[in-house]
Amino acid sequence: MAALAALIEPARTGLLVALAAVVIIVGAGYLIVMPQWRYRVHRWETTADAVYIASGWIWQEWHAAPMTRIQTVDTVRGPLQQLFRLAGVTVTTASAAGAITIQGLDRQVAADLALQLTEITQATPGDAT
Amino acid sequence: MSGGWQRLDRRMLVPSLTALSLPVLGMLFALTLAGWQVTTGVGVTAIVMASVLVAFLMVAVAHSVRYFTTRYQISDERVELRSGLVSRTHRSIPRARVRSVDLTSGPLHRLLGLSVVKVGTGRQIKDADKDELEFHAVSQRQAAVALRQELLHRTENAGDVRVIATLDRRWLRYAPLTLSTVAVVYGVVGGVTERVVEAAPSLPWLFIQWVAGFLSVSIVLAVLIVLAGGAFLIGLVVSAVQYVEGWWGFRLEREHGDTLLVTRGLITTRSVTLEERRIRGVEIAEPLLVRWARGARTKVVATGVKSTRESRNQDALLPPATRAAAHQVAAAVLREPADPTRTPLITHPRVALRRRLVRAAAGWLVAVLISLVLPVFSTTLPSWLPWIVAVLGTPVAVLFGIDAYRNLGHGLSGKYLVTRSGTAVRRTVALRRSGVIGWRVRRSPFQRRAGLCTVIATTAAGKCAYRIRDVRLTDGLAFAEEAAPGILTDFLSSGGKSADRRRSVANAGH
Repeated sequence: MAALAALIEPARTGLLVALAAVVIIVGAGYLIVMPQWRYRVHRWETTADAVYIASGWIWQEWHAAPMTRIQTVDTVRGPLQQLFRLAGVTVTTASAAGAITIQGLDRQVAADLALQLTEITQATPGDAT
Repeated sequence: MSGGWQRLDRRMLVPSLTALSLPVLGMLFALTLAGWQVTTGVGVTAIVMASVLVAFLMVAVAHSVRYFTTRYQISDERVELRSGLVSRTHRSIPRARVRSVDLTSGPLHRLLGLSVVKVGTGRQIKDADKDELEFHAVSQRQAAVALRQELLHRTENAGDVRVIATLDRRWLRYAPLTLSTVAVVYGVVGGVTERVVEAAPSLPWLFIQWVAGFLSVSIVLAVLIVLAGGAFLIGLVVSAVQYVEGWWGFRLEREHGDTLLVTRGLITTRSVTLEERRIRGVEIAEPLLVRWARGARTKVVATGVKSTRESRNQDALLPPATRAAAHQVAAAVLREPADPTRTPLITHPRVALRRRLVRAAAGWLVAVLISLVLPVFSTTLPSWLPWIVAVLGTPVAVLFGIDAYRNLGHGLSGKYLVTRSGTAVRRTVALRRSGVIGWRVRRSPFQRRAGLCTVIATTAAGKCAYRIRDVRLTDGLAFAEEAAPGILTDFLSSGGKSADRRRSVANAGH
């Protein structure tokens, strides 16, 4: 930002500083509010028949997928999740709009969950469409 | 056909190369217009020409490589396609999994008797290309028809064909009303006219002056009238031409009692096959102008049939036609005595009307703001334009809001779940209840405050997600549970309760 300011005529630096201030304030607000809000909304549950999840923050969504329609179960670990010993579990159905992702589980919980879901879905016949 | 590796048709090289000649010709045309006198000198022209030539050669080589390296084989168990020189690919699909064989022939392909054949498995996956074999191209008569016959129908009795619908000339009156391209045309015409107005006095300018005199209005108003009128007329002509090109010779047939076949096209012919067991429902789409003229179009909701803008009309079962014809075809395709999309639907709560009016008001505000800002860029616009937009826009916005609300509806009809919404294009979807493979319930902050939600049925077919917009939370969840029982049962007994609690807390806060 500073390098950019030096390149632009001096009269505009005031404007740039104001812009930077706005970006920093909005960004900081986002960083403080969003993760906590998401954490409070995010819930998951599996029963014998279906997987449920609640997610989002400003726009919130509940999502249900029945066990009989689950096609794949993946565990996903990004570099940051690795660092905190976390993992996500993604459950996909035959619908392109039907993927469910449970984020930020303890690595062991995620592995157990994935195993459990895979066993249940393998026992179900049919192509799940 | 069976046994042994076969090649693509040698003549495929011709259309591939002519596809490239268009930019080259355009380039030559532009250079001719400029009188071959590019100010920066002959050297630059030579470089440009040379690079065009190099590009031409590269494409020619690529196509030749495709021709020389591609082999295909149809054995009793699988269809296989090999291609590539540097990175070789070998793709094979078990014959039992072949669900569609679609043929397309452009004008040159037809002259040469060629067809591009796409063999698909009908699976709805993100990387659909991986599940599809494209033969680009094979000879129409021998290979294309034989491929289709052989791959889709394991039995030889090809006799059983029942025609469900053919093109009715009377539907042509809907042709000019499919004005999807009008916005694009308007942009082009607007740009051209601006140049023309700058170059006044010229022929269009004299025409505008004549219009101004004839209608006794100001020149500025005459420009606006000519612009809008011109765009509208060009839109009408373009959409009529598109309709005729796309739908000439349209036939919808049922073959062998289990496969639907759509053939259509005047210059480019297309044929799309669809196994009936992939069908999960139908959609009746009514674009505004077509709806006013009591027309509609029928689309199929099926697995493996894309419903995106790029897959132009792959899911179309009927061109824009009379509403009665659209419903009749829908019923025939579903093998139902009556089209389920015709059942009376449950209306949505009044709060949904308020939300639609608020949205219409937002659109109105944006239009007024634009008309306020526009004169800054263009001096030809009159100062009273914002007033006109504001005054004329108000009833239009209100009517659109009310129309949007009236079009909301959902319900159950036998084996089908029916949902309707939309103004610019009103869509009524009948989705087979057994095809629902999950539910999503979405709530925006405004919906949460109004106690509403959008219930989304996920499915493996068509758009994969069909929405029931703005229903009361409890009603929406109960409807979802009734439409496809079992999916939400556990949720309603545990999670649903906590949702109710959250809502009651929110209400207490008011």
